[in-house]
Amino acid sequence: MMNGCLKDQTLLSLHDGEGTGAERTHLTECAACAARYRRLRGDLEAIRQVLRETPPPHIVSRGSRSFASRWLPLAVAVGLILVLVWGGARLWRPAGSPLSNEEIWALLGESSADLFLLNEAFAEEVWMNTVDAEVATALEAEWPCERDVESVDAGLGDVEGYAGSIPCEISPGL
Amino acid sequence: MTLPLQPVPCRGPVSYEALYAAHHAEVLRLCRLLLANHHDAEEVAQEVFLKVYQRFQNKNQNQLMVWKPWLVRVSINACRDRRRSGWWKWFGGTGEEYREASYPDSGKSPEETLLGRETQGHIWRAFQELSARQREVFVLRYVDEWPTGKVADMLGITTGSVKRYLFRAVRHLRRTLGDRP
Repeated sequence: MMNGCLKDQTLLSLHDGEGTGAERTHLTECAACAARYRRLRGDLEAIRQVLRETPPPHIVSRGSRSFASRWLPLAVAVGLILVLVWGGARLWRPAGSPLSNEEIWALLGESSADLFLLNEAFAEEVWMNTVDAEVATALEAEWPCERDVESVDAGLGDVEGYAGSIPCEISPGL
Repeated sequence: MTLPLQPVPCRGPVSYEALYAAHHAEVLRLCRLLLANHHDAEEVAQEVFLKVYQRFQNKNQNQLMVWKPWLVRVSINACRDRRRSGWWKWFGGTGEEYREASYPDSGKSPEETLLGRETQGHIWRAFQELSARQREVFVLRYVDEWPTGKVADMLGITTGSVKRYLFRAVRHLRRTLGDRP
């Protein structure tokens, strides 16, 4: 003989064909439990019928869902990743990593000096070529010139026809 | 957890077409119940029958099989895979929500209808509020009417777990029905 009514879980077990003999006996003797059992059966049958025989409610696109609410989490995640990568690169820089600002400025300074030296060498070469051409022209034309051009570079000695003092007005200032 | 997919050797339909005709509606209903999306359910059902076809091609023709339990397992796995891909829908697909159902006219008068549309909608919504496992257990046990032990085998869980899932699912669903005469 059972004391008290059956639990819902027990009623479900009885519905599934399980349960003890005492529980079944109680079910036949207790009007309240019998009513609960009938209601359970009816509910399960109704649910089963709905799920089997009726289509689910239409599922529609949620137009009210904002663009931001959908993409904001992704944007935040991407931003966080970028910040972490940037911070990590700042804190931990392996060998062969990009140069610091001081190193970059030093490199730029050296490059500028080299460029100026190269420029001066180029200007000197141009000057020499110009002088050679002027001297050759002067010799061919036999320009009158009283002035000694010793101040001109010794490279003039290479000019064809040059013999020491040449009548020429050529000067470095030309 | 992925369920084992080995079909059970036994008797069954002799052709793929017969197999499709016999089980497609059931597979589609199962997928629809587990996914709550008709389009997804149709796609998953197609995937399931593609696997059936491949299995059918590879199967020894002399080997007879009971296809239904195997189909149920494959369907459940396919639905789980589909649910796992939900992140893509969140970002790339459409969000989904329920709206008032519009059921086809069954020819019954409102008095003849067992439950009103409102109640049906409540039941569907409550059903969708169940966990995936509770839904699987409830559908297999009370909609497809598999025995409890078979449900446990199909889902790879114990009979006790099946009962616990069932009880919680039934309790939640019955709340939606309220006090009915």
